[in-house]
Amino acid sequence: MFKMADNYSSSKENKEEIDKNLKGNEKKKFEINKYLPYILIILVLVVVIVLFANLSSELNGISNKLNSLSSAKPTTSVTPNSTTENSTILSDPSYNITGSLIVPPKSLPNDPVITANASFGSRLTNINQPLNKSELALFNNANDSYFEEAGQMILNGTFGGYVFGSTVGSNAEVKILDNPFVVNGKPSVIYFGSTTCIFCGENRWAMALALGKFGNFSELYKGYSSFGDHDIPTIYWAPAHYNQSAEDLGNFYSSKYINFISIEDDLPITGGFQLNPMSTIGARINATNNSVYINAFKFILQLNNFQGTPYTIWGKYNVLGADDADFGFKSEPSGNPSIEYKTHNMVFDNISHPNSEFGYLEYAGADLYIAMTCASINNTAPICSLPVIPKLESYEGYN
Amino acid sequence: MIAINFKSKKLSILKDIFSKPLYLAILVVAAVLYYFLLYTIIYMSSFRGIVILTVPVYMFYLLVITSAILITISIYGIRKRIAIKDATAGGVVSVVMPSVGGLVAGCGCSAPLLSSLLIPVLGSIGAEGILSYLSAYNVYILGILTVINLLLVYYQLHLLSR
Repeated sequence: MFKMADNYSSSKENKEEIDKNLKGNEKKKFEINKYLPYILIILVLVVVIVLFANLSSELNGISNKLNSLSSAKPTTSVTPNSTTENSTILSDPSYNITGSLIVPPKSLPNDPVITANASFGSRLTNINQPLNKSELALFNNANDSYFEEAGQMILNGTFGGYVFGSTVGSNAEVKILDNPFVVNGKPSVIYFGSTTCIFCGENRWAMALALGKFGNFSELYKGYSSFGDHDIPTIYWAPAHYNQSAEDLGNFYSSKYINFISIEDDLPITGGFQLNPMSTIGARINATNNSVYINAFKFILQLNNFQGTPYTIWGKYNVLGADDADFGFKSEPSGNPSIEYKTHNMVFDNISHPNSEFGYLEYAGADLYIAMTCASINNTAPICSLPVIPKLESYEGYN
Repeated sequence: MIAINFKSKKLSILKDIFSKPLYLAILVVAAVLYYFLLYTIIYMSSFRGIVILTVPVYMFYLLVITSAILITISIYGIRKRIAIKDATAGGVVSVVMPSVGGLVAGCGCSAPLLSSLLIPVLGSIGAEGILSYLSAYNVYILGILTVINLLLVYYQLHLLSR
């Protein structure tokens, strides 16, 4: 009897324990269910953050590898005036051609100079106005000491992350080509950009300073980036079709060391950044029947590494983007570059007497372009003997 | 009369949510988080991390605020155990909207994040074509994302008011 009572009480205890456990489990299950939606939302947030944090560098690495694989494919070598193409296995396309460069018109009746003043951000005052002699001299006869000073500032790390000229690493800004694009026996600087693009607008100042050290501009023109890309003051290589969809081909540059081949895509400047489809740009270039420009654009397409504008080639060096980007934004509200609030005269003043971050950064950007060009022409131009240039060639991996 | 009743019921739920300190705190924290999320993605999508905003600043803030409101209402719905699946979906969407917005709010002339996504599939030329169109319509895209947030807020309030 006692045994039965014992059995009864222990089974009752067991049952109570089982009930307790069940209730506990139900409570736990209920709590997990209660927090599951929050967990899901937080999980999505974490995934998004981690995904974007890693995606850029990982996919950049993948796309760089894919690009290097595709550009390592066999290509044909083009010889001038040949009726048949020679099949030669090369790692990068090779061009050695003769021909004349395009000289653009000095004015465009449908895109006249605008003299009316307007507020910053929607301002086209003096667009397509040619630079006068003293303004041109800022680029044709820029003081060597400013290039030297800015170059030293690059080497000292003064500019932090705002100068981009490295050839090292999978995310390098500069790719070394096997062969420059040679026209009439000279290597070429090729520029492909857009009048609507803010980075092109900023970088043309540095480009003009660099090109001025190897040759001479007989004409340059005042311009702006598009309203949607902050309407910053810039210079154009030729009068721009700022009201329409078109290509501005050619410039007024001459040099005994290099050619300057400029392809500027246009869309209405009152809009935002936009690029015409490559097929459209190619068709317009083909319509000129100019073999230099046709082959230059073909060269760009064959390199197969276009990631945005500005896209430039300096002899043997292919720069994937701007090489400096100073919009003077440190003192301005987030997203509004302070150069947007400057007139052309203010920028000219900054360049003629660089006493600001903007001025020196433009010379720094120019220094990198100069170093690339010097490395491509065996340092034959006088500017190449500036003390800082060979140091920059070494520093950035151009030799 | 019925329409007015429905309207005032949604409004009274809104009032109920945002009159409580807890949900106000959630709104503020969510707004701060989403601001940094949107800004960070713009930063990562920009050339060398140089942020150039090519949409009006107010659209940036509108997207942040509407996403924060959406997640606050979603959390309310989850806590009240009303339409949990829809509330959870609303919360997830509130995270996705600023993420997508960040991809297009910077300068399209150089968009490394989107380029990385598109180049392996389309090649560099094809990718640039798409980037160009996204850049041209980025203001409209941000507008659509904000409207989606608002529609989901309305839908969630509709479910909560049943």
